[in-house]
Amino acid sequence: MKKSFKFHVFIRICLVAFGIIFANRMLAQYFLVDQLRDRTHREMGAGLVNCHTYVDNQIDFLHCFNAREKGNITNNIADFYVLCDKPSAVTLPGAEQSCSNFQKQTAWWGQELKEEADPRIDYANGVIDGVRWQGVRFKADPQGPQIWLSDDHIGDLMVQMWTLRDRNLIYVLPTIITLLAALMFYIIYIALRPIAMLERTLAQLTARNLDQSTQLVAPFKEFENVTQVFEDLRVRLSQSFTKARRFASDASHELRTPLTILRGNAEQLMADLPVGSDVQVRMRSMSDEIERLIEITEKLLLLSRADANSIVEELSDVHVSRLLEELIKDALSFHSKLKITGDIQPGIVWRCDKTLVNQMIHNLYVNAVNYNLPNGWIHMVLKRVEGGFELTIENPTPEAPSDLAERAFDRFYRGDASHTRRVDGLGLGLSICLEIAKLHHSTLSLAVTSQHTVLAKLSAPFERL
Amino acid sequence: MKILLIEDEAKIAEFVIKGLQQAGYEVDHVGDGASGLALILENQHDLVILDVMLPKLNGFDLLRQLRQDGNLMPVIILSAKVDLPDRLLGFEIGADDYLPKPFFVEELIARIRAVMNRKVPEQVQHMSSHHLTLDVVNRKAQWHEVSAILSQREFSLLAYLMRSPGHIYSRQQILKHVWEINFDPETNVVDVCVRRIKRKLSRNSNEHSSPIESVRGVGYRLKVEDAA
Repeated sequence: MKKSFKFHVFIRICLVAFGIIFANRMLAQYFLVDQLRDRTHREMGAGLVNCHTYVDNQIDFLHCFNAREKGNITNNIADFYVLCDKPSAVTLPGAEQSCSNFQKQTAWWGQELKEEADPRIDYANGVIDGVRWQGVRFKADPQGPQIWLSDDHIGDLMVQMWTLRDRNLIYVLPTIITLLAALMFYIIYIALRPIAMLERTLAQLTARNLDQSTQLVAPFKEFENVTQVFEDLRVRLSQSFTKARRFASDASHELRTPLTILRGNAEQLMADLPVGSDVQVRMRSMSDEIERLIEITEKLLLLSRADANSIVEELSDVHVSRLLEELIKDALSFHSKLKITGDIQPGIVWRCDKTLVNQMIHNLYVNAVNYNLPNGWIHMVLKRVEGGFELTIENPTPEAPSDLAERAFDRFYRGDASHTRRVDGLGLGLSICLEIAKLHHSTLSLAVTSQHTVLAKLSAPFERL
Repeated sequence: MKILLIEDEAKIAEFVIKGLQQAGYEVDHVGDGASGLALILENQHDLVILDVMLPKLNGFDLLRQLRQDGNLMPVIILSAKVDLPDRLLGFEIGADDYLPKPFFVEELIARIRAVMNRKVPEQVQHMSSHHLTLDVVNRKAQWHEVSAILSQREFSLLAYLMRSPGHIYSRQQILKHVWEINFDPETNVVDVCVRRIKRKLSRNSNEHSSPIESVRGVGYRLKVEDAA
């Protein structure tokens, strides 16, 4: 089953949306770490300047720093700052060791910040035991107070930020997807509308009105090329149908005229010959061959008219049940060696071309006779199905070719039945049946069953589609 | 009765003329539409047999012109155009009958009779020929003093042979018209049916054998009695 275009577009848009969100996060993470590090650096510098201006001892400096820097971006990790000023004034666990380590790293100082930096502050950046640290101090007072912070804690800050972002996303994403879906359906509707309009117009185009050029109008400028392509196609098709129709009509005239002369003269001659004479018998045989020739010509002309789409049905209500009952009754007297049975549901009436349908049913029957076993059988079933009826004609077959179901309706195709009996015919019967079925909006199929029988099945609707 | 045949194909005209003359009609023949129209307007004919594809003036146009002028001359169209729209067009513009090619002269004669009687064959209640009468409504046949009710097939067969008494119809032709089948069933169903008719119509009568005559190897025909 083909998937829906809307569903297809929806899935694609969802994938793209998720891709954008993911890419956004990856890029943000990549660029934000550096940015955050610089900003933290700067704020550390700002805190240092502020507090150093007002206090002159370590404890007050710490209090000042913690108190004044509340509310800025580094607030959440304020507890992790390491303050180094006087060795006696260490406030945090492990800071003593850290401060002595930091004080050894004179090469770390002189770090340039990407964001605007305070010219009075000196910035440091370096790694101890795999942990990156950053520090600030006064340029004018290298021995004065220093503030240090590890990247790990900036990482913690990042995690907190992303948690906050993700929490937002949980509420925002469904809204985004809903809006996207609505937008998508609207865009699809807008995009498909001209195609639907074209489709409606094209659906009205049949073999019978192909020669009318005004039907195909582009709904928008952008579709003019598409409609032009269809228009060209219609013109080519129309020309081809016209040629085929002309051929069928010309062939009909050119073939029927000599056949009329042949038949007329043969019948005349036969009437003139002595009754029962050998010459008359031979003339009758010739006349029968002329009849055969007429029959073949009629078949070929019918097929060529079907190709040209120029068959016009003569519709009437045909009692299909009665037609088949009659056929079975006649068949019993025609073919005494075959067991002919039927399961005919009575009262099935079909609005169709009686002559053509009669021909189709006879062709199917003759096929069942010709490709049967010497003492075989034929079983016909006619039954009502929803909205129509189904006719099946089944017969055993000596040796069905493997490609029978596919090729049976090909013109001039004949299943090899030479092992059983001589089969008369051209191999046109089934292709004619198929054309007649198509003309009546019906389907005709042929299948070889596992029980070595051939099953011809006609499914026809009562109502014309 | 005088018939005008307008047909450009000389060979068709030849056997049609011969057949019609044998049936007792007087026939004039022209090969193009314009001369045909001129002859019709002279009003010397009782019926026109008209081909469609004619030089100078197309058969349909000729007929249209004729009817527009109020001429009600009976016209039977003979045409290789057998499609429904062509046939409908023919009747629409005023043809009395439309016979597609190839045709049997016997059928043409039967249709001429029907047109001249202003009745289509199906509406005729009785058909009779040489002491044989068929009652279409009751499917009853009367041959001299013997009468019998026939089955549908027997009746159709006899009616078919009655179209042209004396003409020999082959088994194939009978099968096609009576049983409506286009294939050879390889059985003697026609012979069986003919035998049944013969038996029914000669049960009590020895002096008049059956109306159907078998011509060995050729087919069957309706007997034309000299006395008739």
